Amino acid sequence: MTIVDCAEFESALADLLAEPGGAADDRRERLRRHATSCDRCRGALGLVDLAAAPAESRDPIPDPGPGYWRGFEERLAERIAGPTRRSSRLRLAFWGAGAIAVAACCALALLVPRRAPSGAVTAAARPPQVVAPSPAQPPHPAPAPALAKAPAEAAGARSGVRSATPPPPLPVDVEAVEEDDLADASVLGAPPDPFAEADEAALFPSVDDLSDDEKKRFADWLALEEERVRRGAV
Amino acid sequence: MNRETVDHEHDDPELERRLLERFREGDAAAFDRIVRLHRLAVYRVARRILGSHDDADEAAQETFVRAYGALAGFRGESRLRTWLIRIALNVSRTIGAARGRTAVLDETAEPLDEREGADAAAGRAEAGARVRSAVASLPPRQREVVLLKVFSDMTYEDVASAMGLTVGAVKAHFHQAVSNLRRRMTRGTAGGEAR
Repeated sequence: MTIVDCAEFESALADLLAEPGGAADDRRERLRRHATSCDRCRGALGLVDLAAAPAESRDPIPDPGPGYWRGFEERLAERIAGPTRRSSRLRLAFWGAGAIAVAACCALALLVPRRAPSGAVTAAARPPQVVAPSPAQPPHPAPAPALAKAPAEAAGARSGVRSATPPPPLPVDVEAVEEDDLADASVLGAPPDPFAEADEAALFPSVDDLSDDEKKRFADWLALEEERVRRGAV
Repeated sequence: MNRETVDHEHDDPELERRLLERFREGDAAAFDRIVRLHRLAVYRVARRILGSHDDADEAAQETFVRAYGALAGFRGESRLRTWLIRIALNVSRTIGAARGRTAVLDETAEPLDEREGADAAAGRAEAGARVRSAVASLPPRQREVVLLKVFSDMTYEDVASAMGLTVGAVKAHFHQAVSNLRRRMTRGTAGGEAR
């Protein structure tokens, strides 16, 4: 039986190429006869030969050899072990930073009672500071929020404590300030000195008064600060 | 013959099952054994797709690193070798895309048969080179199907599993690839079809 149709040739060629172990002689010969006599299929003789070849000789890629495989295994073992070693170092660094943060928290907890006498209230419970306006100088209608709130908010954000204390009203009318008064920035309603004795309790609330969530956020912030200091960022 | 020396072992499902079990129990030697069983198949697939030894080496390394991370979750829905070849295909595609090229079998030599004469060997080498060149010019899916089906001697089912396709789709790609190969190889010969 002779293949007369190129489509039939293609189909038979595909079947033979897909067969493991090569094609039977008679089928291969039929394909070869068609390929040699057909202009459209002559170029595919190489595929007929490939189909005829046993499976193991179709693959021209040589085995790189035992020397190569020894090196391959060594490099693979190193690569597989690599991430494990790295993660161990990371774990160590993580727990080290955690230990530093805990130590810092303990130190802070020991310091706070000395700075804030017993019975000190938290920032949230403290009554707002009231500055009596001078009779000659009516109180300023509204403080500049950013200026007035910034330190308290910053302290609250850093410590994880939200201060409910409203910003203090400006003690004086800005327009009535004499030039000499500019020497004392506080009269312009400048933010109070965060390290002033009166605000220490707000800045350094007792750790005992914090909720668990606040304690956690405070510890996280402290760890970040420690890290920044360690990196020389501050 | 450049078949793996452990050819008979990589097709042993019982051995595969035992090695997987040992690996899951924490036996590191089991993974070494798996690597030895399948490293040549993985290397060859990568080299067929990427063309160079160095790229194939990199792909084979990456394949086994990924396999190590995922092997504990291997559910055995396909043979381990097929699963590894699937990883190797993905890794090779990624490396090939990064290199901006794909080369198929272009740096490898035809195995010589000492029984044939010099002319016959030269003719066969030339025919082999033309086949490789035509395979390299196929669209990616068709090229991969041909490489796995013809050169790696995999079943349609295994090729489908390795490529994440259905068996029907693999067969369609394969027949289309053979048709394209015939046309491309004929176009390059004197008196070939003009289309």
